[in-house]
Amino acid sequence: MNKLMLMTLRDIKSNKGQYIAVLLVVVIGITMYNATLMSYENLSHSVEYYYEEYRLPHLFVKLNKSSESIVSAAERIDGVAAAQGRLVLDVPMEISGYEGKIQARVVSVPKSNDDALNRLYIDEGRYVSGDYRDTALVEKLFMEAHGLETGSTLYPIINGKRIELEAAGKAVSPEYIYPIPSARELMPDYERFTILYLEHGFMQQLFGYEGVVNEVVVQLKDEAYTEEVKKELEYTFKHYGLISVGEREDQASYMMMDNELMGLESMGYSYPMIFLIIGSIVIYMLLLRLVDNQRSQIGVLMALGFTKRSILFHYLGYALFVGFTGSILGGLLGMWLGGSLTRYYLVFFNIPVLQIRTSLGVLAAGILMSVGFCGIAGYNAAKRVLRIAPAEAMRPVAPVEGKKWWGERLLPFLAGLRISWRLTFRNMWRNKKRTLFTIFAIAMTVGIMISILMLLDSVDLLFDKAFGDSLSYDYKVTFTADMHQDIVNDLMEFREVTYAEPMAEYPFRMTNGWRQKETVVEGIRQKSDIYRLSDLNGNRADVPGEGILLTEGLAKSLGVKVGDTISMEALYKPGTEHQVTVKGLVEQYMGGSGFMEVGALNRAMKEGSTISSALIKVRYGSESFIKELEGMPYVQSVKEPDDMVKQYYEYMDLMYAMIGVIITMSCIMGFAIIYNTTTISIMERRRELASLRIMGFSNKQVSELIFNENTAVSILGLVVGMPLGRAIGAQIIAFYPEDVMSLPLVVFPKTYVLAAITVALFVVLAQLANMRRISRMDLVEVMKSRE
Amino acid sequence: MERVLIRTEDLSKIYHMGEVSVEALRDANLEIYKGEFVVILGPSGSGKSTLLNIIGGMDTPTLGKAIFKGEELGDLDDNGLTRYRRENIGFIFQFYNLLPNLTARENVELVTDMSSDTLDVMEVLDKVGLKDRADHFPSQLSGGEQQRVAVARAVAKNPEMLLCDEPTGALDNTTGRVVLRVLKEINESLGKTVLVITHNAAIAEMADRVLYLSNGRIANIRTIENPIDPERIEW
Repeated sequence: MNKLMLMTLRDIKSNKGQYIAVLLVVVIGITMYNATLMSYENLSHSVEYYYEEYRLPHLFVKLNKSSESIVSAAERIDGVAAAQGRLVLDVPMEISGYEGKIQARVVSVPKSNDDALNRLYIDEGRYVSGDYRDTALVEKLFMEAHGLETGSTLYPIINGKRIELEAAGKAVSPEYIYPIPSARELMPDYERFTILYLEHGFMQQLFGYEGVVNEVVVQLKDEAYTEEVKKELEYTFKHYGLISVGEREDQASYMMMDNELMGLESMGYSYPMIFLIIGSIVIYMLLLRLVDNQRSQIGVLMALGFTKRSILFHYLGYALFVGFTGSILGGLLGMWLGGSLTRYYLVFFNIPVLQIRTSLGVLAAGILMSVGFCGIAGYNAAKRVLRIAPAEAMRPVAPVEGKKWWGERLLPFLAGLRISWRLTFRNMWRNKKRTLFTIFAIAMTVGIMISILMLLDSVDLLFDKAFGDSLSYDYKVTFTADMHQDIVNDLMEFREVTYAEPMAEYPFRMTNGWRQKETVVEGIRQKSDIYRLSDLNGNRADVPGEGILLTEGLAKSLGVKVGDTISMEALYKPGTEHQVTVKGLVEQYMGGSGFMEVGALNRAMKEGSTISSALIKVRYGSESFIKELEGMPYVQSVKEPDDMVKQYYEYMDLMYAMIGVIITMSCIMGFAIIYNTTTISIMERRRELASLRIMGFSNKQVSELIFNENTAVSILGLVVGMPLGRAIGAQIIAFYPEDVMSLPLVVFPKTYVLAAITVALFVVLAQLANMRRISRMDLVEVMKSRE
Repeated sequence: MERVLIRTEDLSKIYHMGEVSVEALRDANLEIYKGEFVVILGPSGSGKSTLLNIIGGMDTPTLGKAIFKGEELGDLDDNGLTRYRRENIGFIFQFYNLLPNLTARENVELVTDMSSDTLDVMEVLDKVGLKDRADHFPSQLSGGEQQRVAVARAVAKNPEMLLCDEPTGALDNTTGRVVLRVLKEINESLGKTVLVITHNAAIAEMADRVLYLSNGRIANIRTIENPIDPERIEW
């Protein structure tokens, strides 16, 4: 082996603590990079392949009941490759052995699966062709959640009649890889929502919808003409009961998957980048010290005839060693972790054609990035070798220039501090670059921690606001169809019900000039005590007798302010378009983003006193009544206000795991930084520290000097890191689509405290790990050697 | 007549370097009295630094004892030795070892801050002739000036004894003489015991007593009846 390389390896071995620490940072960065980008590639390839092969339509035309013959009109439009009419209807369903209410979406499919848009992937069983009546293919995850098998019986309630259907098998559709009924549901509920696929003719017959469709799905020849075809479709179907023409991006499952992929990709670049930058900084500081410490050795090497270039490469070798080793270890770990991450996604997404493959491109990019970052840092530190003249290198370094820093001149109290503290600040000033780097690195660590913990804070606050005092009803009863308001009085008749209030929820299209947004408007009772809204200042807000309250998010995306007039049209009732005045802005809740008085909403729908649900309070111990209520034919579901929270926290498991991983990793990084700077500043000042020891400073007093420096730097790092974390967090939160869930921007004090405690812990640990270096310092030896 | 400040009994120090043992100091017996100016003379490798390090509480003997005012240094643990150095010994090094980040005055204050019964910092700086340079940083001072700051730093905490390891080793003879002059004056006016180790025989003439070391042994001890003035030393 080349002797210089041997020196490199031995040097690394004798300072292994420092190199392991920095290696860890690089390994973490590259592991995250590989894991996230590989699962991103796996997922996005699979999904794309799946959409393509199984023909996910490009456009979804929703109609009121219309004649089947209009499908051919769609087919004739220029740019349309295929169009298919179908029925999509939601019905309640029962299965034996399960008490809860199940919402079944019944979708009609053509006789042959091969010709179909939204081709089904049959996981088990057989396709529902015309030869088999009374059978339905059932969404796979629902079957699995209930332990159902091919041949099991399902009881959908169609037109008030309990029908018997046999499960022909388990199926997955590209339209429901994330099986949620609408984008308003954040998490799939595999037990209570399912999709049944029925042969088209059979379904028409079953529902009494002969010759009728209520949806046309369209595949385009070229996606570039989406807008044109959409316009054409809108024009064509205008007089045939058109409700809306939606694109893939408006489709719930597609949107969720897309969001997830975008999040995964951006995480795949952002966090690893931070780790690599920090790793490079640490390498830079390490090498800077090494070159300074080994000046005389460099002089000797030069005197022996080594070229400056070969010596430069010798020092660069340290950085490349870390970069290369880190990228290989990180690559291997990342591949392994990426596999598990991808599999974890499968719990949530129904992708039957998952293609896991090792992406050599990602792996290579990781190696390049790691070696590149480390190499650049190493080169910048090692290049000072080029400036050293051999004779000069053998002489001792001139004493460091001591200076008072401007802080002492500007702030007289600093000059009045005890000498040990004055020394601390001057040392920080003396190594400005390193101090800044360390502050930056600690700030990033704190920033990552806060940005991530902040997500939890925001979710907590959201739930607290949405389900805390403001929602004090016990149950929300959702009806299978629109009901007359009088149903509320009927509910009150029950002995168990102490109070009931009407509620209406309908989707509307809100328009302000060219800006358009589809959203759910909730109609509630004025001055309701069980469903309270609050304005942006947190004060109680009440729905006006006329006009509408909007959430801030919706107002922003429509570009309106209080007092403006917007136009609203019920999505399922064309011709209901009318103007409404924005009367105020309210805090975002989950669910709707517009709020009206229930009567005003009815008038907007051009309907009588119609409601879709009721909010009730019940007597203590009414569980059996609730069961009874759930079983009533007109009741779709009975939910507690925090059902959604419970469901959400279940879904959060994955998020918590990710958050845990990122926090752990940033902790390792934080410790590596502080440990390394501590070690460097001790090694660099061994002579100074030894002088102090000889003069009679105790080990403790000497450690204190180092400790003070770390403390001061860490405090500055915290001061910078806290707002930085909030800013990063705000970026992450802004990433979530507002109409799905608009998180409030908040950092609880406990999060800041936690970050501060963590950093304090690192400082203490790094100090303890380095105490030996101070107490074992051989005073005589240090004073003798003239470094 | 004189009070013994430090006494060594059969002091030996053996360094083990791999398979080789080096006897740096062999059976050294000596007494140093309060208020004395002693020069320890010897070529490099003769054991003078080892002796100084043991007396200064920076190193421990392999055999024998070093007794300071009746207290055996070998009985002290690390903390005890730190306290011993802090209270009784002022070190002066060949390369000054000032803290580059502190001014001359602050370098001296550094030690007075942690001891009680210290001398006035400015008075001490005045004594070494650097009152006017008190607010200069080491990098703004000449070598001789830096060494005088080191002397001031050693003296200011009011120790019993100054231990000087080649204090003029890095200086030319003019500036070296100034430093020696300062040492002598501190010895005379403040009554501090001063122990200088050097390989420079010329310096010996200013001492009260000279110890000659050779191959780890004390070869000879000479008392000088009429020490000469440092100004007259030539080398």
